[in-house]
Amino acid sequence: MTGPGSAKWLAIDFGTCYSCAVRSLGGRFDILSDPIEHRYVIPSSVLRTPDGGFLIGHEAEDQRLRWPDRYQGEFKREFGGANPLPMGDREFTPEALVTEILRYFKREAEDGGETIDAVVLTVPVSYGEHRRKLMLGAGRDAGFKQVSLIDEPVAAVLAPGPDNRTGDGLMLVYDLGGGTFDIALVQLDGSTHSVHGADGDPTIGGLNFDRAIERDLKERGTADPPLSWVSENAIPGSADRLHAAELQRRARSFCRRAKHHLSRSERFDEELQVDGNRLHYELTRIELSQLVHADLSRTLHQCRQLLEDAGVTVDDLDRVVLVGGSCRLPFVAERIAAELTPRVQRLPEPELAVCLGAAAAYSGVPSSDISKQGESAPADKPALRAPGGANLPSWAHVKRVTD
Amino acid sequence: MTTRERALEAFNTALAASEDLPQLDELRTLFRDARAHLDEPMRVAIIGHIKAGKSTLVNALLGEQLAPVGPEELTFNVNLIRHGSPGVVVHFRDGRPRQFRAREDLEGLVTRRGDSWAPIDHVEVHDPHEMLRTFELVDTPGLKSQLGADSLNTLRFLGVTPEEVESATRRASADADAVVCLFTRSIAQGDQSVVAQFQGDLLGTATPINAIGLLTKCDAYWNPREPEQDPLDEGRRVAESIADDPATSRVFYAVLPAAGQVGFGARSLSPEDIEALDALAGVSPDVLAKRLRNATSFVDREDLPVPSDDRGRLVESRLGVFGVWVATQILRDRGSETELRQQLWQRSGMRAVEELLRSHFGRRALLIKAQTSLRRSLDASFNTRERLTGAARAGASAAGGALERWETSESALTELELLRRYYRDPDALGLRNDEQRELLRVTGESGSHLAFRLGYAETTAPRKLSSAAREGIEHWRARLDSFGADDATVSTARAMVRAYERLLHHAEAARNHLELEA
Repeated sequence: MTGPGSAKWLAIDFGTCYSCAVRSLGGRFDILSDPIEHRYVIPSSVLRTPDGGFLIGHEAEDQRLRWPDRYQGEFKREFGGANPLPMGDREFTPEALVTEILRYFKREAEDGGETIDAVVLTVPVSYGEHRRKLMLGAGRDAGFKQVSLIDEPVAAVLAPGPDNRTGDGLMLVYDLGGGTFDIALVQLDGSTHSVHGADGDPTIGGLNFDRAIERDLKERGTADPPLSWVSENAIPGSADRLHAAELQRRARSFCRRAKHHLSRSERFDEELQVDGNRLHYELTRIELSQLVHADLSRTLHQCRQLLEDAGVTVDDLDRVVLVGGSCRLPFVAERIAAELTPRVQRLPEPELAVCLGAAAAYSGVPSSDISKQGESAPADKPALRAPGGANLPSWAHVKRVTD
Repeated sequence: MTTRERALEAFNTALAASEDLPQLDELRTLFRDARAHLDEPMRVAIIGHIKAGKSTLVNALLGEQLAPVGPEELTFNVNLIRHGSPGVVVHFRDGRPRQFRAREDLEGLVTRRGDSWAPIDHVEVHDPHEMLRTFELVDTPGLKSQLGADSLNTLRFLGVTPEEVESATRRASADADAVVCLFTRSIAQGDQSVVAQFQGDLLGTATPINAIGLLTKCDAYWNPREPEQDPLDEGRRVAESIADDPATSRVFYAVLPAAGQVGFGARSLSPEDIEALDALAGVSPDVLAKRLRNATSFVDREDLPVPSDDRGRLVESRLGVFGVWVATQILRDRGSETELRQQLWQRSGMRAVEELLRSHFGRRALLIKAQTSLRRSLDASFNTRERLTGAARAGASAAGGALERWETSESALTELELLRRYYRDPDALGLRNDEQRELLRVTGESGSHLAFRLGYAETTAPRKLSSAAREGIEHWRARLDSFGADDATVSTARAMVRAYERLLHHAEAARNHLELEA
């Protein structure tokens, strides 16, 4: 028996920059974690090794400098397109690479010896039948016998809130991920939902914030002796290219750490030791909020535009649901509260919200309502609303497998 | 397969998917129109304030008085000027059958004088002009807020509300593939940016790919006290200052100066007109310049050689005062009739306008039309799908899927998007000059052949092309990954990597093909 009835399935959120998965095994839910980095999200990256195997996620990123022409990332942007992506001496369609990501999660989830045949995949609400069919096909190619789809913003509103409850009403889903920004107006009403409009900007995401910090570090960071490589505009093409790239990579991860740090603290003040150089950098949360001010203004402008196009006022909104890892930065919610509506719902781990929402929806749906392979997405069906119940994943119930 | 064939295939698949479903009849009509539009001329809307010279521009381009002009005869209807044997078709708003009329009736109909009080939706003017095979011109009346007091009086007299005029303008520009937006000096000197004065939404679909701006009536800059000063120079300066405003450059590919009246004269001068100009060329330049200080005195004075009526026609309905001045100068230098027409066309700025239309819009006509059609059809499929259930819903969904498939896989559309971003503000992308040229080359602006795109001659060996593509990927990946890169640079670099990957795919295909042959 497969599907939710079997209680053995996966929910996978394949994102532009990062992906994650929730596993259901006999009524227990856990979020899969990366065996190397012990993180719940992995980069949506694939690297094809010379022996023809695939490295996925962090492993692909780790080997990227070594084999740059065997690496592909952010290929969700090309999904549905006809042009193959080169990897070494071969080419792969975007859906073939998506299949590899899905296969990776299946393998990880089956690590305990279980066989998992059912999966629910999240897709952007803007996908039409062409890309939905391709996504169903990628799920099947990855070895799943039963594949269902759910729209990302619909999954987001079904994600259990901090109090493990979801509520009816008109919600604006504000999804600020690593590489893209998406918004959607979702009406949740008893057991039905409908999407009243969606928009987004594929050029705004957490990576923009990282680069803003990188630019700031180049300008304000102090190093002794001075670091010339940081100010290089491009990776040098010389023999020590790998070395320079590695230094750059460390500086980049230092900047990313500053960002993560500032989602919890008011101030970042650290030194990066590189080759005997000491790079000192200080950044406050207020300064960071100024660095990304223009980007956030653009997202807020899009929210207002979407509401206007849908003929809805801010007062009609029951709440704004914040999902995507970049929403960890407190000033994102603060600005929405100040400039849009104070009814903002923050989740403890916004980068996992869409995946958990998909799992909540899947486990709450009678198996007869889950679309079979090749059929249109379950988002077409009204009965996707997860009823409140003990059998759902919640922040308290979800076990982290890393610890 | 070509872009056109892939587009046709997508619409055919969409039509097949929606067949035999009565609830999708409307959608099917839209698909059929969209498919037909691929082979139709590109529809260019001429928008601008009342009296900005829209009709004069249309007449100058076609060299005929097709659109009514003049201080009184404001155009309060939308006029669609398309290729065909001469004639006029009037479309009414109340559902009554359209009327076919002779061209002579045009003026009365379009200006709503005479007997025609019925609610006219738009007027089609057919003309065999060659240019209309490529472009259909839509002459629009204008926006409510742009109507002056005298226009409002005229409207009241005609029994038309300003709201009707405005909504007709909006509908016409929403239907268009491309936009030519006209400004006059007073707009250019206004407090607001020219784009803001067009209330944004009228220019909603305008981008540097499908929109250009024209500063019209530049002959008004002519000063008869310094007759040798070319007013188009001043026009060019004003046009450039408009184009320098970032809000404008994000919308228009270029802003050009033009003197439509002089251009119209260049194309419509009769033998009698030329005879009269020849006679005027005999007058001393000083005297002539003095007389031309004022159109009324030029017509009324008794000391000029040709009859007053002829002078009146020349300044009022042919060339204007600056045009008469230029024409007499050319004839004084013993220019032939052909030279006269060519030089007037050149000096009116209209030659540059015509060339820009042909090169900038014309070369991308199919793609721009395809994108207009595609957007409209995808939106309609989605909205139809949301309203329906069962088989009809599945049909609309499958139809939308066929169009989506084409949209995501058509690289020409991806390249168009990259170009759009480039033309919106080339300097905002943070690229070096050679990288900007590379972007134009890769997107096919300097020739669509694979080798040209990679910067090589057509005869270059595929192996070499492959390695050029790999170098391109490597360069732009480094740009994409560089520490602290600018966001706009990153988006562009990502698109460039993908573009080079496509070129690599084709270069490798060519290589494999040749190896098989060998």
